[in-house]
Amino acid sequence: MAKIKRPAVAILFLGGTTLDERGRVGATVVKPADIKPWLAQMSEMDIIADTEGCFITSGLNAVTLSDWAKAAETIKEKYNAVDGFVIIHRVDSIPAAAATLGLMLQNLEKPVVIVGSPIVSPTERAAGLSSSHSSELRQFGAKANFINAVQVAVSDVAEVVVIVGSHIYRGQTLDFTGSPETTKLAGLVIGKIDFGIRFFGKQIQRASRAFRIRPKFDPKVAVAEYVPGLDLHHLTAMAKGAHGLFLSIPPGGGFSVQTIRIMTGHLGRSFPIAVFGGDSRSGPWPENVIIMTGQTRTAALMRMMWALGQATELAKRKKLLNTNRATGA
Amino acid sequence: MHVYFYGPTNDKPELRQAYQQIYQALKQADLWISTNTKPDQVQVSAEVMAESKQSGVPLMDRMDAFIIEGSTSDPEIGFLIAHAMALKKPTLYLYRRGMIPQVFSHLTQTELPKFIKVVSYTETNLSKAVLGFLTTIEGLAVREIPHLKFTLRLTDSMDEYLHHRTHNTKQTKADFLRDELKRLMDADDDWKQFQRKRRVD
Repeated sequence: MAKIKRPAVAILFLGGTTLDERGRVGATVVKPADIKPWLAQMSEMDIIADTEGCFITSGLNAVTLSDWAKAAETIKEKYNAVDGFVIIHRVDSIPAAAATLGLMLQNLEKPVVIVGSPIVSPTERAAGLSSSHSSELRQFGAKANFINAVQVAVSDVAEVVVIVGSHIYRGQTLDFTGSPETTKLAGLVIGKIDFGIRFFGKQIQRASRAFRIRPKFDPKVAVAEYVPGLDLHHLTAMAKGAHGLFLSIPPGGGFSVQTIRIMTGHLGRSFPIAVFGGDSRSGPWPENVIIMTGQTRTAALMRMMWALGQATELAKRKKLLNTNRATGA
Repeated sequence: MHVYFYGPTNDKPELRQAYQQIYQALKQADLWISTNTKPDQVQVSAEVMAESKQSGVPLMDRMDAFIIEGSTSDPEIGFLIAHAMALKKPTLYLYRRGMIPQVFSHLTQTELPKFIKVVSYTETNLSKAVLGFLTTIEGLAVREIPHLKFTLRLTDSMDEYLHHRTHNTKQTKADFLRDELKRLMDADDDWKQFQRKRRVD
C-alpha cells in the first residue's frame, strides 16, 4: 500500500477552546500548561495530522491586535514546518480576527482556519464570557468543530477561512448579523462540510510572491456613525488627535459630498476619512476620503487601521485600502 | 436509521466489487443509506435533511452509524474515524484480509473505542460482517430472512385466536406470530440491555 505523507498542523490558542462546560481538567486552555491535557482530550485530531499547540492568549480578556500580531509571528515561524494552521479563538471576536489576520498574512499558500467553541467553562464564565447566542454554533459540538478545522487545515485552500457549523466562510467576509439576541455569523460560504470537506468552485489561490507578514496596524482611529442632524463640529473635534476617521453611514443616512467637505475643512486635506456604506457614485469626493464598499464593517475598519499602520503617505494608504478586499492580496 | 458508507474512489475491480457487496448487504436492512460510492450520494429522511439545513449541522452528525472500507490509504478515512470517535458513532471499519490499513500506524487497536469495530474480510464473509454489525446496533430494524424451522404445539383456543386475527387478511398465522415476537423484542428493555452488553463484551 502506498504511504501517504503524514500532514502536520500547528494549533494556535486564543480562547474559545472549551470542550466541556463543567470545567474538567484539560477541557479549556487558559495557560500554556493546559495545552497538553487539551490535546490529549482531542486525540482524534491526531488521526488526521500531527498536531502541535502554541499558546498565544487565554481569551479571558479581549483579544487584541498585539495577540493577533503574535499569532502572525508564530505562523511565520512555523510556516515551512507545517501544512496548515488552526486558530482556536473566542467566538465573539472571530470576524475581527479573520479580517485582521487576512491582512497580516500576505501571499498565503497554506490554510489558516479559525474556529471557536460555542460553550464556555466556569473560568470563562467568571471572566464575563457567555456561551454563543447563535443556535447554529451551539448545536454543533466543539469537538466535531475542531476536527473539521484540522481537516480543512490539511486541504489545498490557501487563505484565512472560518468554520461555523457545516459552513466554511471566507474570513474577510464574515461578520455578525441580527440583533444581540438573535445574532449569527454570516458571510461568503466557500465550502461545506457534509460527509467530508467540499469546496465550491476553485478556491485554491496560490500566491505568486513569497509569504510574508505585515502585522503593523495603527489603532488610533476615531470611529463614528453618521446620522442626519449630528453636530459636525463635535464629530470632527472627537477625531482630533486620531490618525484617521472611520465613518459608518446607515442606509439612507442622508450623507452628502457637502457634509464631508465641511469635515475635511475642519480636519485637513491630508486627514484620512474612510466612509463605510457611502455611495461612491455621488462624488466627486475630496482627495482624503475613501469610500469603502463591498466588505463588512469589521473588515473595513480593520483594513483602515492596517493601511494607516503600513504607510504614511495618503496615496499609498488609499492604494492599500483599495487592494483586493476579498483575499487581502 | 441512517448509515453512511464510505469507500475511497478506486479503480481496482476487487474493491469496486466489495463496495457493491457492502451496499447490497446494507440494502437488506431497513435503512437510509448515504454513500460516496454511488452517484446518488445522499439518501436521508426529509426530517433529517430539514433539520440539518435549519441548524447548519453537517449531515454526517445526523448519521447513526458509519461503515468504512479502509483497505486503501485515503485522507477522508482518518477524518471519518476522528468524527466517529468524537461523536461516539458505531462504526464498522472493513479491510481486505492480508492488508494493513495505514490509519492504524497512528492508532493502535487498543486505542480504538469499542463502538468502532475493525474487521478484515474476504469475499465470502463480507456481507455477513456488515449484517452482523448492523444487528449489534441497538434499535436497528434489519429485515432478517427467517430461516430457522421451529415446531410449535398450540392449544385449540390459540389456533382459533390466530385464525381470528389473520382471517381475511393477507397475513399468514406464521407472519402474525413473527410480527408479534418482533414487537415484543423491540419493546423489551431487558433484552436490549443484554444485546448492548454482549456487543461491548
